[in-house]
Amino acid sequence: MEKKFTELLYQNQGIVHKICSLYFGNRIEKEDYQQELIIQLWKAFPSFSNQSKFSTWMYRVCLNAAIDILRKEKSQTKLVKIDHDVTIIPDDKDDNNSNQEKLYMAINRLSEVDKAIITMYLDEFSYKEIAEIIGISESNTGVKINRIKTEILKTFDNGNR
Amino acid sequence: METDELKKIWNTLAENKLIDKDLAKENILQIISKKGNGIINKMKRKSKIDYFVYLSGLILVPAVTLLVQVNLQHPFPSIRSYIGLSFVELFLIYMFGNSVKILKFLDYSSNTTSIKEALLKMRSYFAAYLKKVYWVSFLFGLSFLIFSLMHFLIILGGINHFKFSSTGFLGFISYFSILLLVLIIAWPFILKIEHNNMFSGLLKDISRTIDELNKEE
Repeated sequence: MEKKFTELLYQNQGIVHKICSLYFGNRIEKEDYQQELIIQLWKAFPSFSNQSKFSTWMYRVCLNAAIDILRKEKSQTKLVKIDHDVTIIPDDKDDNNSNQEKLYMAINRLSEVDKAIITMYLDEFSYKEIAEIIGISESNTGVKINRIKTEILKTFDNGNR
Repeated sequence: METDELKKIWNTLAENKLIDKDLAKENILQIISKKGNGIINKMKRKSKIDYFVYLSGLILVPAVTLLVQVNLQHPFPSIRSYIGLSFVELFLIYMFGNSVKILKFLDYSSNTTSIKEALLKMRSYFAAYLKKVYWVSFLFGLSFLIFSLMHFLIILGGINHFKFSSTGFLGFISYFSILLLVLIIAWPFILKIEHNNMFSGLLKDISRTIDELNKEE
């Protein structure tokens, strides 16, 4: 089982990195968060059935775990410093970098649930898959995606003025 | 800007900035076999220290007091220290209750359901659990306060010995008994305030997210 898990996780590790960067961006001990997501995935692995894609299942577990960690940190504010202002510094100031930064900042300003929805949408998940992972109806998912997209695009428009 | 362009920016962003260096298979194996270095385990280790400190205090304070009483064959080395000890014990009950709650909270996880279902489960689990902790610490604290009051009124002084005008031992007993009575009355309210302070913010936060999910746009 360990081998199978390692192989699947190795192939899909981008999901762990992405969720970790979006939810715990510039925490000092970023590796600990990564490890936590992997531990949670391993603990949940017996529940994985081949009926769904591994990446879909992985998104579900990682998003739940990330939201769960954020809540747990709130109960430990004395112990762990929570840093919400996540920024990335572009390597150079060309347009591509600037757009990437704008998108990153726009996603980071979203609520934890909206962040989950748009991340899956941008990663080409279907409305049905997103609805299942979030636990809302497909139609509501569509409406939420449109609303979030408008919010993000506004950031780009404001930046270009 | 079109959606496709947004997705293109996202893919470049993910590739360039979000995805760190590749985790080797050996590293993955090491993480799942050790399990100890995740952020939750680090939080748990810190909370466990609190748990054991408060638990030891909770046991040691009355044990040492009893030992002193037996050895010196005197109610207390200094009768005024009784107030201090009582407050220390109540504080320890309160802090121990908190550390138990935090540990239980850190242990809980529900990651395989949908996000909404996980939040609903978490909310009902903690609402029920917090109620249980509240009642246990309430009954424990109340028993301690009643025991202290009985100890003062019946064993040490006796109800007939109330003397508020006295500046000595009997005067102290009289005032201390009143203080304990007030504490017994106030105890559920004190606990309720603490109970609300500690986790109600968290429960409200979960409820807010659930409401956000329930909202049909």
